[in-house]
Amino acid sequence: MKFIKFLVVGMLFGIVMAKSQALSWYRIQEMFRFQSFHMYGIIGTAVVLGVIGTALIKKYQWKDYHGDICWVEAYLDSDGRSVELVLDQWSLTLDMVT
Amino acid sequence: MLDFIMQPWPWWFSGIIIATVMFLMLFFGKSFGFSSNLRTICTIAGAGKRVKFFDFDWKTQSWNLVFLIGAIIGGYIANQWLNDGAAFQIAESTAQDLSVLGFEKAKDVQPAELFSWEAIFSLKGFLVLAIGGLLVGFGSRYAGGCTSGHAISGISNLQLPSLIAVIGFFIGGLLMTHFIFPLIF
Repeated sequence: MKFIKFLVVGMLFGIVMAKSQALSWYRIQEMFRFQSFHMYGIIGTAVVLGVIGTALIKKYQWKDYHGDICWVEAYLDSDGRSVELVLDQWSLTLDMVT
Repeated sequence: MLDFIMQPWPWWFSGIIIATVMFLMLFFGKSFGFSSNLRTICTIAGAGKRVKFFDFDWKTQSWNLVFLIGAIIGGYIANQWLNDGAAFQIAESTAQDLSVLGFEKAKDVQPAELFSWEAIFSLKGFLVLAIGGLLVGFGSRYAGGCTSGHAISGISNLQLPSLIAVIGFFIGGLLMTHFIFPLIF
């Protein structure tokens, strides 16, 4: 039962991918031909809100439902590797907020 | 309100929902990134016996597999019950460009020239899908993420590697659309 929340959020994601038509091959063609704003608008809106929200989470150290500080998890990439490891792989340096 | 949900969603509303998905995942103590499931599935299939990259406890990622199953169900729900059945529209200029390449007028969200049983059972159609799938799978793992993990989660967290990855995705898409694709079709 502890996984049901991920099923529900996943369903929301599936619905938004379909209803936004972001999964359409044609929308992606429009995007790479610079013939429609739609995909840029979707990704732009999500990223702008994401940057603002993530900054707020860090600034106020908002907790997740476990009571852990949210952004600690956000420093893991999608493989669960720490970002420091990825940075090492890319041979880049980045001032860590930590 | 119901009309709004049934029609194709505008970009701003879609963007808000995608950001909401990302924040819900953070709130649940996880990060939003879809393509790591590809690695997990390879591990379940036994790839860890041969390649170290796949040798990890996949059960730690089962929440993400549940998210993937949810996404498939969500796509089905949207198509079956949140669909007003209106004709699929694309930009006139795109339709023209695609017709030069031999694509018929768009009828559905995906072109039958690429995504249909007929396409799969032709040599060219099969190769396009198989090689395309291989490149998506390899590329998203080599980069450590895809559009969800890098463009949405990574850039939101101001990670420079994510920005570089997204610029790379975009350059790749431009090269494919404008230079490689016209050679194939």
